[in-house]
Amino acid sequence: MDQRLRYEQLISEKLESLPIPDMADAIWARIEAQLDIDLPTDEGGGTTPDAPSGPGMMGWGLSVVIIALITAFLINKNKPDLKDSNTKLPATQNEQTTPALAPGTGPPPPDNSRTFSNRPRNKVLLTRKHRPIQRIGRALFLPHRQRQTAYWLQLQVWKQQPKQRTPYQV
Amino acid sequence: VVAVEENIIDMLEGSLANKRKSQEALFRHFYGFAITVALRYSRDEMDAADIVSHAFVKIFKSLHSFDSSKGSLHAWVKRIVVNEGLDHIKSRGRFSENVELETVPEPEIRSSVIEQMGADEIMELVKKLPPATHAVFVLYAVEGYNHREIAEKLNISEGTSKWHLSEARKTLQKQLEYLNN
Repeated sequence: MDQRLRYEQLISEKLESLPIPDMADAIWARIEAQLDIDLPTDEGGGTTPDAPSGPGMMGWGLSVVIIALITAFLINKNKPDLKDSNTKLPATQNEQTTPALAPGTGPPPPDNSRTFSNRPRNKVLLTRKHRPIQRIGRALFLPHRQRQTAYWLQLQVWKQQPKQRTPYQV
Repeated sequence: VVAVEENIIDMLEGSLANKRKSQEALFRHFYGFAITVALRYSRDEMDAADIVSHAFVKIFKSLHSFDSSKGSLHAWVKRIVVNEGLDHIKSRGRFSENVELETVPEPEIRSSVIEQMGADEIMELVKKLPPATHAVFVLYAVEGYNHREIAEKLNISEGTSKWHLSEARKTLQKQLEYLNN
């Protein structure tokens, strides 16, 4: 039994004829966006394309070009530095890094009686070109090593001199 | 009619297969009906758009649970939109007040006044009601639910539902008298 009052029935009838707002497209866009999250399709997102937009592609391309330019700059910058450090290295450094292996003074022939681990090992000969890291390291410690060499030479000269006793020494 | 029904079946099958085109067609088929229902529970068109969008996301996510032997698709869609509208009203105000009222006084409202008013003018009056009173009045006077059903839907007692209907009638009577004078 409908217990609604007459005016309530009238209100109900009137509200059936409310003007419909033109919002279907906007509401569907919101529904579709939510469905793409909750119920993604194999088609890849329905009517809206998933492909990146023009500015997005340009951004990626620009990033790749910038990274490539920076890499090329760093490579080119490092090359002349290596050459410079080669030319600036002193002769003393050369003697220490490359062991003297004059003809006839090389290591003795292998002795089979020794074990492999006890065998004296020859130093691996590498040119400067193949030892960039060691070269840079030496360049960094060069002043200290020069000072060490100077002190050693002074010590040798002092040892060669005759010892002078002081008056109170017995 | 047969062609329309076949069209709806195609839209339903496509929507069940998660095809966006079919889902969009189904949404556009029910848009006018759904937004009219939603407007009764909202303060403005933006609120109604929120209700419809949330309702249709639920519809597409639970479409597999629709059983045509238990009722029509229209009734199923309406129930989801109404529930979404009630959730929206609940978010606007509290529903916990428990006011018991067994006898509902019936204020005199002349039907001639309502007949002269437009739908949007009537809706403006209904929107001014407090949220809980608004919900009870629309459910009772517009949707045709009884107090027991309203009490279940809103999780209130039947007495509280009657009290809210009484309050709605009194408020509407005052507003209509004011407009009439």
